[in-house]
Amino acid sequence: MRESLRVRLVLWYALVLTLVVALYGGAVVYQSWRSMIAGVDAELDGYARAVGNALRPVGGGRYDLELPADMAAFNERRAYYVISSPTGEIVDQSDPDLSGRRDERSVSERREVTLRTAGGATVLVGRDVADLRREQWAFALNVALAGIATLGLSIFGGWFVAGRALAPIKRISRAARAMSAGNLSARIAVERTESELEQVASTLNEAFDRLHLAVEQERRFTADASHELRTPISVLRAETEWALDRDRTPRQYKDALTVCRRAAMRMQDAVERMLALVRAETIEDVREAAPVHINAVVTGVLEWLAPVAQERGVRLTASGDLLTVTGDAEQLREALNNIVANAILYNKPGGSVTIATHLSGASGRIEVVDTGIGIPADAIPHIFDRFFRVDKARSREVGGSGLGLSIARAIFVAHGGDITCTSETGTGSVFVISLPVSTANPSLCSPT
Amino acid sequence: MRVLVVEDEADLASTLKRALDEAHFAVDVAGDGDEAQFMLGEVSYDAVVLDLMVPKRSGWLLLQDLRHAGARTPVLILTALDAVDDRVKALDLGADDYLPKPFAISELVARLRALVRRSAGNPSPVLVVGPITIDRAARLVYRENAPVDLTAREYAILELMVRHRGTLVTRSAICEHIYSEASDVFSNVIDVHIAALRRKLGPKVIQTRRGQGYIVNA
Repeated sequence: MRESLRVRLVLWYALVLTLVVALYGGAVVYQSWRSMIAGVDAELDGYARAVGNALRPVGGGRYDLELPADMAAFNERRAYYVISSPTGEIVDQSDPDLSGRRDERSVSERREVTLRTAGGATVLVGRDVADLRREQWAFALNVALAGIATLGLSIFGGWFVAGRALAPIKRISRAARAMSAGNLSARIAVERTESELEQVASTLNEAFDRLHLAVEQERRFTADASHELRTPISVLRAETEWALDRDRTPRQYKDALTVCRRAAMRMQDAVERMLALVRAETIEDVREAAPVHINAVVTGVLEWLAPVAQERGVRLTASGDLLTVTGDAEQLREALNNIVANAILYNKPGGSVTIATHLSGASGRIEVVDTGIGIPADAIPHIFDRFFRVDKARSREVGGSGLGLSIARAIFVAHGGDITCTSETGTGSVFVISLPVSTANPSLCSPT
Repeated sequence: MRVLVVEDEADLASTLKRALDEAHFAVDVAGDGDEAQFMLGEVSYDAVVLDLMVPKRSGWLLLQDLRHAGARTPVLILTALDAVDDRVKALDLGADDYLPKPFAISELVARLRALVRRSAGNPSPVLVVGPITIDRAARLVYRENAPVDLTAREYAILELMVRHRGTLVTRSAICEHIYSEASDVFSNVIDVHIAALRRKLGPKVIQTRRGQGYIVNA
């Protein structure tokens, strides 16, 4: 059975309310009974004293009773009295058949008071309370009916209130359903939502935003990746179709094959970069955990890229603290290489690339500063996305696939670090890499 | 028929130019959006082959500007974007056809020919003017059912004149539609071609409006 939250809420509410109403009603009835009995007792006390005062011992165990005329209660037989001598012998009673009647009745239907007079006689005054009891039952019934009415009204109100309180949940679940059905722009209208649920709603909206962004990035990645492969395939197909359309001269065949080889190389490049990215993203941990001297890695990268820098008239310099991290030297070399290569390729002739290492506590920082063309502010949030390129035409000239930075970041993140970028168009860019350094003292490590 | 190819991938652009040249189109190539924008302003093309992802000014923007300016030039989108959304968006912006990459060159050529035919108001590949029949699919011309041997230029001029029959076609318009940017021609070359056409088709098909140009009467 599917129990809705609303039903459960109202059931609990009804249970608690029933208990409260029952306790309250019971207390009211009990209190009213008590006060009624107290009244009866006070009345009987009065009668007993009046009877006691009216009693005159006349000797020989006999008494003379001269009741005041206003003791109508006894005349109307609403109450009775029994006077016994000190020996227990009944001397007088209000009604000759009384003892018989008393026995007929259950004790609970009578209320009696006994009083020992100064003369030694015992006066018992009592009255029948069956009528009061009936009255009390009627009162209790009224209280119960009122309680049930209150309960019914409250449960109805509770059902209504619970429905209203839970309405935002319906809205939230509607939005979530729309989201899972593929409408990624579905959001919960937060301004209409009550405060407790508002937090849930905004949290969910944030999650929806992240999901939306992830799906968008995935979509763009797929589109870009397919473009990256489709373009060279188009070249291959068009060129071969053209070449095979009719007999060509050897020169034309040669040119066609050259074009095809270029296309094949572009495809190879794109596929290899894609595989590298998948590798970098699927290996959450670093491939190898060994001490890596960042400064040696930097020197290696600079040596490797020196010819490229020279060709473009870019000066390379490195300086700073000794850093040793735990990780995979080859991966870190690839990552740093991608960053520095970008800094060289997107530089100006006569520009420079400066690499500085800093050690502060347990974290190391590598700064790669270039004097290049810079990155427009609106592009900075996307530069680490797969296949993102600021200027497609320029990237093609220098020959990137838009994966270098994304691979680099994946590697730094796998090493427990991160990379950020600040840039100013026309002035240059600063890439800051943070990496946790290993506790081993670098000076104690054997040089590599 | 003069065609502008907007394609930033140099190898693909060069292949397209060679293939379309051989299919008797006069082809200009623009490597980026700005260049394409400039050339579209200079020349009235019979068709445009447009890649959507070109640098500087996107194909989307080019197409939008072209249609905003009221140009009726048929536009064929040739792109790696093959999502239905992209196709719909491009067609709704005013594109006439959409061919996703990779593509067959023969299909591109056939689609371009169909686009040009439709834009002249007659989708049929066969045109008839008096005794002359032109089969635009086979690029063959008949005079009273006898095949006529025309050079590529002569055919192109005849096809252009017949496509715009009933209206005056100037020498410079003929130059513009027959020769690509790369060709260097003098307008008296046109007179030579017209004379040859008259010799082969009979004197009455193409009329001269002295000092203005030529006309094929409807």
